[in-house]
Amino acid sequence: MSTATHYEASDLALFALQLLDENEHRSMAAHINSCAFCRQELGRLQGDLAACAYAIEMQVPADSVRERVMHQVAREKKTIPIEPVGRVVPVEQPEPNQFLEEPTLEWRTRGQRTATKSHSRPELDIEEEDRPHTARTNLQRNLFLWLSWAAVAALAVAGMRLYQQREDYRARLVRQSESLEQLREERADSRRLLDTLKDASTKQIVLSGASTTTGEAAPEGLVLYAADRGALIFLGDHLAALDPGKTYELWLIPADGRDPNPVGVFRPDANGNARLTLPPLPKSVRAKAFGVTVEEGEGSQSPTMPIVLAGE
Amino acid sequence: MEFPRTEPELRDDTILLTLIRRGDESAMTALYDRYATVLYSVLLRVLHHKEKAEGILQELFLEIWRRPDDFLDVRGSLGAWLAVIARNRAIEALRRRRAVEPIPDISLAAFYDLSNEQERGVLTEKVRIAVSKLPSDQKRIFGMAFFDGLSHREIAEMTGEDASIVKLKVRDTLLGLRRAALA
Repeated sequence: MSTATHYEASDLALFALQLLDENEHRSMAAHINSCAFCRQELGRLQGDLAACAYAIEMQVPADSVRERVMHQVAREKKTIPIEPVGRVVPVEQPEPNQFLEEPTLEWRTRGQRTATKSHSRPELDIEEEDRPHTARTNLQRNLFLWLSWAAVAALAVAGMRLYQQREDYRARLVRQSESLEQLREERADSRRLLDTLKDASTKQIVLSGASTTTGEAAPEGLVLYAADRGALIFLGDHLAALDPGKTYELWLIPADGRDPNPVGVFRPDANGNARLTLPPLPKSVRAKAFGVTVEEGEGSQSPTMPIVLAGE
Repeated sequence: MEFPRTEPELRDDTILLTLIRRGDESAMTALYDRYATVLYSVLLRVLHHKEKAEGILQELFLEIWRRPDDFLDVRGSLGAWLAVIARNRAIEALRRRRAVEPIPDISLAAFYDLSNEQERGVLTEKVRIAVSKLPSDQKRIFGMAFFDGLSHREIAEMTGEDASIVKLKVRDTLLGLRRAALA
């Protein structure tokens, strides 16, 4: 396998399959890293390998793997990363005594000798008679320094404006992406809502409870539940107001006798109305009944008696 | 706590990875549901060991959760990359090999949008048909390379074929599958 020319597809195929020994692999990698042609062909071959993977007989991993992954994901909650700001090009700050690079200057001494001095400490060998020349040179140098600084400052200002513009565009893009994402989610929710309402298998369960105050209407609720879709809509009416820090929680009591599943929490508005739309639910859980309890804070994993609304 | 399965997911991989980057667990669920089956199938086919396959699958998805930027930077199809990574990880585990450094800036060519369930199905069907039509010795040699991670020299020793012929058969198989996928 020569590195002077491109590798053949048969060699690249073995490379893509990682079937070469370590030395061969390293040697080919060095070539591929610097060869756009071989990289392109390797990309094609890896695409072919992926196609092979999709052609094998599919095996579904156990649900427990999914649960483990998602549990771990939930445990490793992340803080939302702040978008990295664009790289700011550092402006080198000159040392106070550092001379800027300038062309080497020449000046003539009394004896008409031509001396060439670099700018590193040029004043050391200057005699009294040369002072006017040196003063002019200093003036030139100062002027040059000021002009340089002015140019750097102008560049910095222009850079800052460009940077701010870019940040504005980036922020607008992020806002638009977020609103687009929100619209997509709303559209998907609306579709699910409509599907649930239209689904012939959707069950309607009326929940009723007892009034806590004499003369007031008793609380009631309606659950629309499509078990196969894992979709649920709850509407509540005449619900008593709750103390701050308390919340209503809806429960699904499975038909197979398992523990009640928490469906979601809600608080009624000033008129005693509440609703819960499409909370995340597992699919295909047959319901025997639904109940509503009053829970602390953000809800509970098991219902707290009494049940204020119930229906089968 | 249960993690409900999502409706058929319409958002593309880049959107899901961007949401994962922002800590969106539902996007992670959607990505898992999209690719877990194919990755697990590859892992199990290579390793023939359920627990090991599950372990690598789990690690692969947690890598996506922990370092989504690594996968956002992937050039080409994420689904194809993940399939190649899964196969290579399984081979490394099977042969107890050290992982090799990936080549940067490879733009992996995938002729299908693997984030689209329908296109995945079409690709699968085409490639399966092409594999079924391969001569049996070519299919066997390619299987030894792809699923068993055997080098062309090892395959040559086991089959009695010349090593250079083995190389060509592996190449021809891949190119044949590419033609079938594009047909």
